[in-house]
Formats: sequence, C-alpha cells, structure tokens
Amino acid sequence: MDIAANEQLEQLLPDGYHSLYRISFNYRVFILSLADKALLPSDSKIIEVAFPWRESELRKNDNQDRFLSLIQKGVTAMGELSAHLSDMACHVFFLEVDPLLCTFSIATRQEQAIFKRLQDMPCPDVFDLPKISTLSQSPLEKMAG
Amino acid sequence: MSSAYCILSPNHDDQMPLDEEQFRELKRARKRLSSAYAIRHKFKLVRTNYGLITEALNAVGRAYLDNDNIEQLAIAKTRLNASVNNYILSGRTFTAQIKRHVQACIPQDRNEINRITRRMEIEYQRSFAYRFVDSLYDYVSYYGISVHGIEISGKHNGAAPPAREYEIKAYIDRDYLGGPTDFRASVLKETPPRIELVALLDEFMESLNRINELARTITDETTTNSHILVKEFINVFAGSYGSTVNNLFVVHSVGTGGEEIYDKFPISMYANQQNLEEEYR
Repeated sequence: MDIAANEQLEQLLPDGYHSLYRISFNYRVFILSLADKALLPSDSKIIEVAFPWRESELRKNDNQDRFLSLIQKGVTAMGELSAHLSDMACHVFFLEVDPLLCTFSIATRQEQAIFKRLQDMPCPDVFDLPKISTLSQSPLEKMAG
Repeated sequence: MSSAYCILSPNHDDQMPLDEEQFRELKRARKRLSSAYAIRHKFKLVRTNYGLITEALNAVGRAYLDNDNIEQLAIAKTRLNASVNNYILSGRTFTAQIKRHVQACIPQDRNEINRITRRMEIEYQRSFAYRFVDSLYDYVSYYGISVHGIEISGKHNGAAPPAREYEIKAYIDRDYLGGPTDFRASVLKETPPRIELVALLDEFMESLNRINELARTITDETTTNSHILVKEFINVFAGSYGSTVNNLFVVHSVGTGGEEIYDKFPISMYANQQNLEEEYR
C-alpha cells in the first residue's frame, strides 16, 4: 500500500538509496540501502563498521523524537564516512540504525586499505568506538537478505 | 384460542388481513430471504473489514513517517491489530454459517448443500491462505494478536524532481506463532518464516469469493421467487391503502380479540433494500 512521503524525512535521505523501517514488538530498525546494485562488484567483500551510540545520545531526546534523531545522526555520519572514503574504491551501501547501534556496510575489493583508512578516521562525537569486521557474505547477498 | 394473521403498518395503523396459507407463504419467503441476505451481509462484513485493514495499515505508515508521538503510534498499531482480528473473526463467521444459510434457502435439496461443503473442502485443500487464516482464527482467539511486524519501504519513483514513494506491509512471523501446541500443527509445518498480510488476505478473499459465488448461484432462484412474493403482498397492501408504504410487518396474533402477538416479522426490509442495491436486488 502506498503512503505519502514525509517532507522532513524526504529532505534527510540521500538520493540513490532505498529506505526501510522495520518494526516489531521489541525492535525498531531503520535501513538505507544502495538503490543501484550494479554498483556493487560481485567479487567485493563487506567491511562492517558498528558504532554503539554514546549514552548521552540515547538520553538526549524524549521518546517521540529519539528515533528520528538517531536516523538523522546516522545519515549525517554516513555522509562523513563516504566523504572520508571518497578517493577509495568502495561503496558505503548499507546503513542500519537501531536504538543500540549504527552500522555501516562498505563494499570493497581492497579490504586492507579500507581498514587502514577507517582506523585513521576520527570517531564521530555521537558514537563510542566502533567494532570493525569483515563479513563472509557478499554485498549482494546482504542486500537480498 | 383462535389465530389471526395480517400485514401491519405500525406507522399508519393500517392492517390487511391474511389467511393462514398466505401467512405461511410469507413466513417461508421471509426465512429464505433472511438467510440469503445473511450470506450477503456476512460477505460484505468480511470485505468491509478488509477495507478497514488497508486503512489501518495506511494510518500506521503515516504515523511512523510523520514521527507521531508514542501514544498515536500505539493507537495506530492497536487499530491495525483490531481490524485484522475483526477480519479473521468475520471470515470464520462467514465460513462457519454459510452452509446453514444455504440450507435454510433450499431445505429440501441436499445435493446443493453438499456442493457448498465440497467447495469449502476444495478451498481448504488447494489454498494455503485458506488453511492459514482458518487456523489463525484459533490463534487470535487465544492470544489476541495477529500482526507481528511492519515494514515501511521508500523508493524513488523516477519522476522529476525525484520523489520517494513509500509502501507499507504487515507481516505474520512464524516464530511468533509458537509451536504446534499453539497453532494447528499441520498448517504450522507448511508455514513459511514470514507471511505478508495483504497478499495472504487477497488469496483468502479469492477463496471466499468462490464460496460466496456458489452460494449465490444455488440460492438465487429461491431468493428471487421469495422476493417477488413479498413484493406482491406489499403492492397489494399499498393498493388497498392507496399509497406506498414502508416498514411493514406480518403479524400472527392469538386470543379472542387478537390481542396477543404470537409471531411478528418484518417484510419491507427485504423488499426495499436501499443499501447495496446490486447485492441485495
């Protein structure tokens, strides 16, 4: 069923990405995923960067605004991360925001170089230090799943 | 104790006497019409509840996208769950009662009743949605919840300037249904991990449509004849009193002065259905 877009959300979200809210009894997740799968080479790997939210970020807003605020901060951080990796052969193709973590998935064939560049990046103020790992699944598998 | 029969207009205090045979004819016609209309009412109820689900889903999607407060979100989700439960309840009411209603229309024709039974068996055998919704009735009766997850997806529509279009879907998750002791085991076994609600209900509606169509086909002739009979009596009443009347009742009274009403039933409501002209003829 189609529903009308929300202007505030519309302005926030970057072009070229699909959005998805997943809601159930005990979880709430917001996902951005790259719209054009052809940009993801089939032999690329995933580097996942999982930032825990700083405790102060989770306390900052009341319930009503908290999740939208986390989405805003996650999308802003995705812009910063993409800018930091702009000269590298990679794509930040997946963003997952939930009340505990903000997780970015990067598709690349140059894992070591991306790892090093990520370690050089200053941690955004809204996050605690991230856990960085390489996943065994391919970016296309993650998008499908 | 003597009996008297008449058609009565409560609004005008007019009454037209009937003989016993006429009363019996009207009573039989009314019974058939009320059963035929019950089929239509119940099917309409299911379709209306389906419409309420789509409205409720839309409201949940808007509440999330507009970042409504927690209370409004909770209300939207509760309404969605209520509308799905009402749908499932009305679906079961339809399937559980339809044979009885068809039988009331054509009590002497056992073969036709068996056609309905057979049609329902075929739907159960062929359609997973039919089996699942049938089982879901027991589950929601016990647990009171029917939707486990919601997804709101946004994609660019390719227009200029580009705009994002959102779509909302609700899901039933197999894992939340519990084990074979909570849900009909044979159906749980064949249930996929996730079921998209509207697709499920669309398939279920197709089954109900086929059952409804068959019930209509079987009962249509009787319904039409009963309708003609009731209409004739109403026309005679109107002719006798010189004007069109509505809200007529048939009354069987007993006692020397006909003071005690033994039976009373409406007839105008079957002849002049202003709602749903097509469905009620």
